[in-house]
Amino acid sequence: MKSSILPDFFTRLYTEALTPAFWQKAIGIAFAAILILAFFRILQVIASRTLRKTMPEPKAQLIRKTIRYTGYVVVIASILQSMGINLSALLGAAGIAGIAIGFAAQTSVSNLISGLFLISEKSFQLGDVIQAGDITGIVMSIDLLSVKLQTFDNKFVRIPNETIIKTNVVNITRFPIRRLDITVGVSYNSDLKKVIELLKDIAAKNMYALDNPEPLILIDKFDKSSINILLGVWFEQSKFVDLKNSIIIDIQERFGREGIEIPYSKIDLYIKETSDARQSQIQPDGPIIRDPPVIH
Amino acid sequence: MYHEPMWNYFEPIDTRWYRWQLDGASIWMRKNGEEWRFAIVPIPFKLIQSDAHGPEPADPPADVSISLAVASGKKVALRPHPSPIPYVVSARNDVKIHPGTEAWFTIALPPVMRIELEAGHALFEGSPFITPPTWFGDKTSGNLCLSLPIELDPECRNEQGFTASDISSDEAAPADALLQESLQKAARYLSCQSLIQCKIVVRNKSKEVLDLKRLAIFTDLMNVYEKDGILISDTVVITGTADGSLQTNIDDTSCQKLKKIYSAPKTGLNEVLIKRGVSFLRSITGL
Repeated sequence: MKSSILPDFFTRLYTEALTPAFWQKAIGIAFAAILILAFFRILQVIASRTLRKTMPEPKAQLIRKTIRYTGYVVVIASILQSMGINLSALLGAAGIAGIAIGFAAQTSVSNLISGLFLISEKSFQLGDVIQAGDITGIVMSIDLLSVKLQTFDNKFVRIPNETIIKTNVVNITRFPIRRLDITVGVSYNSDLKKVIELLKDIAAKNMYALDNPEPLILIDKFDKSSINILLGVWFEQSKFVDLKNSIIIDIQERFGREGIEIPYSKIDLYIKETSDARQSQIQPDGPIIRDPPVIH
Repeated sequence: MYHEPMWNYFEPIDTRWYRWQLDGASIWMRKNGEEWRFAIVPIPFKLIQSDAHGPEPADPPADVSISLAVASGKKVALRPHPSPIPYVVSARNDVKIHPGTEAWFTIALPPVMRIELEAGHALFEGSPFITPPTWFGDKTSGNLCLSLPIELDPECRNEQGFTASDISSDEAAPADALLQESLQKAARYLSCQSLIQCKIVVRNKSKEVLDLKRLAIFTDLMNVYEKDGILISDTVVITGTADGSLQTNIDDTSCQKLKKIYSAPKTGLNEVLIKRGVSFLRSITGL
């Protein structure tokens, strides 16, 4: 009777557990399992070495994982077969269970398929810095279900592949050089030609700014309290922090030396003298202190 | 106590500071048993001034960071070698090289300085000359290079008044004011003993005119030699071939009799490719 596979198995296991033949068989099975695992391990190492030169890392990783899990499946199937469990019945039952699980695991399947797309599309690789939604980090792994990131404040973030597929992903380190755009506001009294020359000189003297491609200088717009000038400086991608910190300091120092005003939002407060104001107490060099309001 | 020439091995006295003056930059060293201390004060390449000597006993460096190494050894030397990062130079205006002709250029490259023990172990390494970074290639691929503020003037066959002696002697100063100015600018760098003089030959064997604007020089496979106190590297030969491709060779035959200061690492495939003159496109574009 095939419907009582597991009870039969446990009954037989109970009766045979103490016999020498059982242990002989168990050792044989364990030995075979180790051999199979070793075989698949060797296969995995060979594949890893071969694929390293010919294939991008995520694809190679996928193949390595496929080999590893195939090994596990073969070992489990062999063990069950050796124990006398009828696999065809088990697989039949697994098929029915699979349908049920399939309905329950729609998200996982979606992630799995998204993972395959991600790997084949090669939008990013291991080690790239990507921005997905509001999360930015270094790609640690691209797996079948999720992409794992290490953020710059050292958090581990797991993003489901489905989310990645649906979101705009920015690969920050795809190209070797990038442009840092800094908007500098100068007062309306400034000599714009002089400002442009200064910005060119600041970029030329900064040790992290590339001289080729040339920096972009664009007079952007007349703003509320300043004329905005865009300075776009090219840099080698690993120098982002160094460049940003240094060039902002350079601009502030140089503009200060050359008398170029960088305006900032200010509120001019005019105090109108009224009868209420006369009653208020005005302290020299201090804030205006009014009488507290009376609530009826 | 004065050691000549600059690049020879010498035995420093314990606890005494030594200094090399490198055309405006300086490197210090002090040995104390197995402890070695080093310091470097680099200068922008543009501010270079011909004045190189050392090692000489000197006062300890002030207000600079000190590097330390622990190693046993008696004799050390300061050895220059080309930067592992390629250099980029521009031609003055555009130089057009017509089919069947060749032009050559001499440039002075800022080296990386290394203090090493007799066995060749490096104790300290630093760049005495600061050069701005530049990008050679397009925005999606290319090489990070060091930009040299030198504008190349070509030399060619049967050209008069363009030799090293002309640069240094007033008698043979060329009448052409533009050429004179150009020679003086070149002389400023070529007279610096701590820079490596590198000769580049560009041959046009193609049927098209080669338009030379920017030149990237990959120096990672170049040897460095010394001749009369001047550092010289292997010659770079760039050939525009009939099929339109460019080949770059490193020619080390002309310097074989000179004292070798630095041997380039034998890296295998790249070296073979270069030596055999197989197309090595990455070394030059913009032609």
